[in-house]
Amino acid sequence: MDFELSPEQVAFREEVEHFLDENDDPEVFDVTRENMAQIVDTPKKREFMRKVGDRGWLGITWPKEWGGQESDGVYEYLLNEALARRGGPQIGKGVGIIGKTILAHGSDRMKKEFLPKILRNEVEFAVGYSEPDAGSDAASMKLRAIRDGEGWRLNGQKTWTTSAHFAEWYWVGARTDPDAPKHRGITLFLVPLDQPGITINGIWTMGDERTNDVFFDDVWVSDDYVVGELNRGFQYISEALDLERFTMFTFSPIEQRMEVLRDFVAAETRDDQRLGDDPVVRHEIARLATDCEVARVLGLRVVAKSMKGGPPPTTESSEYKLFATELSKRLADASMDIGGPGSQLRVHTEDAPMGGRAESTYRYTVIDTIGGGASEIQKNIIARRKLGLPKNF
Amino acid sequence: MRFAFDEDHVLFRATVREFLDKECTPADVRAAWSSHRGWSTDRWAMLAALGVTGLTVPERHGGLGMDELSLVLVLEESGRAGLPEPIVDTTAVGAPLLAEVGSDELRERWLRPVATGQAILGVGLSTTPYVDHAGSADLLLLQRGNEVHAVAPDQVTVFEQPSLDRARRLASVEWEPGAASLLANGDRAAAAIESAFDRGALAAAAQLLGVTQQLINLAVEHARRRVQFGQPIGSFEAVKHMLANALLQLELARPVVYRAAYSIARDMPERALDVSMAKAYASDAATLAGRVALQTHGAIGFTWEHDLQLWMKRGWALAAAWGDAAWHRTRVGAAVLPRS
Ligand SMILES: Cc1cc2nc3c(=O)[nH]c(=O)nc-3n(C[C@H](O)[C@H](O)[C@H](O)COP(=O)(O)OP(=O)(O)OC[C@H]3O[C@@H](n4cnc5c(N)ncnc54)[C@H](O)[C@@H]3O)c2cc1C
Repeated sequence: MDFELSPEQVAFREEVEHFLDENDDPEVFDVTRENMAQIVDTPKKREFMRKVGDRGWLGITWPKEWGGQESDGVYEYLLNEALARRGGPQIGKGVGIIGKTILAHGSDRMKKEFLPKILRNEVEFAVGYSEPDAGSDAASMKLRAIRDGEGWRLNGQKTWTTSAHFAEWYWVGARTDPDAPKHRGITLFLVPLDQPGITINGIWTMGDERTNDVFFDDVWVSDDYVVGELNRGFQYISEALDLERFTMFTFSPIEQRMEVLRDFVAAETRDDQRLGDDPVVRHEIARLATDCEVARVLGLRVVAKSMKGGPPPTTESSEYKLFATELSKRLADASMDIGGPGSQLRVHTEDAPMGGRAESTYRYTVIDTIGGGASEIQKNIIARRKLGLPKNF
Repeated sequence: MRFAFDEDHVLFRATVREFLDKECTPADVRAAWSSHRGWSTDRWAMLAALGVTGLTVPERHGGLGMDELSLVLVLEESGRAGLPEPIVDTTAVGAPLLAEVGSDELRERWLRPVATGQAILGVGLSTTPYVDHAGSADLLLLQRGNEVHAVAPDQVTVFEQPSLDRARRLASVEWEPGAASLLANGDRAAAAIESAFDRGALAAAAQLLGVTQQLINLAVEHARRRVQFGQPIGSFEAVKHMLANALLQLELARPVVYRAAYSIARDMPERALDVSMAKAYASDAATLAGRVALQTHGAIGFTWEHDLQLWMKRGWALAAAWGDAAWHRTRVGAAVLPRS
């Protein structure tokens, strides 16, 4: 057992930090956007990610044959967490989810077309699993794909597709066999988003960010853009979701919010008493700090188990996602409470405590226990796969 | 002992509920969010006609002269409807405070218009520094140290402090205290400030009960209708238990809040303790219900279009106003276990 980073890993982390200091830019890094900060939705963010790619850091765990360095997953983890801590773009989607799935299951042609672009950040993806009637139950998706010549014709609707309004390619699941059991009749496609027949409508959220409804009206996709095998799409989606649970739900923003709260408590006086001397507050901080460490170690365990870029262990990533996102909410609750009357002020308001982090975090973290598989679904996964309990649906 | 409200309390509540169901729909609350002042003078006038704005104004100044036991159910309804109007600051806190420490002249000048809905009051205490609707208040009742002052809006500078709940237009207020504005000082002021604070905390707690109820109603409605895995999600025990926990928390908070209303109305010696227990509990109940309601709704609840956010944000904001749960628990601690 070894909880320390190796000297090489420490050096890598320092190199990353140095690079981030040099490229510090409030338009690229914004901690008050919390989880949505990770999205590469502006030219400046793209430019920044291209620089990350130029350093050879995108796809660092990938095989050398495909432009990677075959490094341990811990390097990818260190990079991603360093980016997340500053509220910067993250590598989760292109590199962590789509790239890895293409590496594992895609055709050579698909690898040649997409992998180099992902490594240079020349392409943005949107991920389309959810539909109005298929949320937690993603396997019940209905977007229909019907055989047409050397390809498929797609009709139907997706919803909650976060990056659709600026991405070039759509990573999308569609039903290719309506007669098979629901999770055996789905195929994954890559669809260019600028095609005729695709309509994208914005949906605005409580976090003040945009996500989208996407409508397909007779959109044709060539067989070349079928990912892996026909009707195996849901298996790939499940694997990709395991990846998402720890690449998209990073730990370092939680740690940073803990530090912000701790510093606030240490500095603030209320009713002539230092908040930091209040035993009730101290108790709360101690508990949260402990849980932060637990979350950090849980995350590391997932990384350690999926070294060399292999698939992450399912129940461990569910346990991490469940605990870290629920902790995130508890941390937001505590920050609101300890923040006092200023907690009701909006972020960027003059008097807002902790720079408004309490309020903005509160609004953003509500969704972490839903997106990427809700807490209840994680518990079902743990109960079924680790405890062997029966399914009830 | 009788663990029930009088019939006229219950009747009044029913009248207010019926009115709010018609005149304060979610669409109306949303309209208030984007309106200039954040609340509607028309709806306030209609509430005045029902007697709501004069509820706490003494009879000789044209009000109904009723106490917190009458008010608490009305406040609960106002929370359920997400009412944007300044019922907490004007009716629950401002009017009783002015009646208590105002000069005869000031009382004569302001309490009648408050009762008829023509004037609203803003209240700023050191424990609640952000004055709700300070920008549209006709008279501000402000604490400075151990003094209470009545200040006209043209004598203050208002700094907007945008709230996460856009129907609450918060501001900090800067002003120069003077002999002319002084209403009370010394022990009399201290007592008035404490009772004003307790009234505000009770009012926020009562509104939070209504907010919590509405959050649960919305979530239950959604859990009945939304189908995943071929079943309404309300049939999954994970969802059922989550909602049952939220309801339980509300049911626990309710009698404690009513108890606090009673203690204020009767001016019981344990008033502050009861109020703090009530506000801490009600804040926690609303926070939990907000979390649970959003979790139950899934992504749809996170959208701007969905009404859920109107109540979630009211709940979060009120939980932080008039003393947050931690502050009140500390006060409970000090009361039940005084320091040696
Ligand atoms: C901001 C945001 C961005 C998103 N981005 C994307 C994206 O880019 N691409 C994409 O495809 N999707 C995206 N999603 C969708 C997300 O994956 C879904 O919201 C999620 O899968 C949950 O589905 P739902 O919202 O329909 O909730 P529902 O499935 O309706 O769930 C509602 C409630 O019921 C509970 N529940 C459901 N089934 C069970 C069960 N069997 N047992 C116990 N409880 C259950 C849930 O836990 C939850 O509490 C995004 C969502 C949001 C909010």
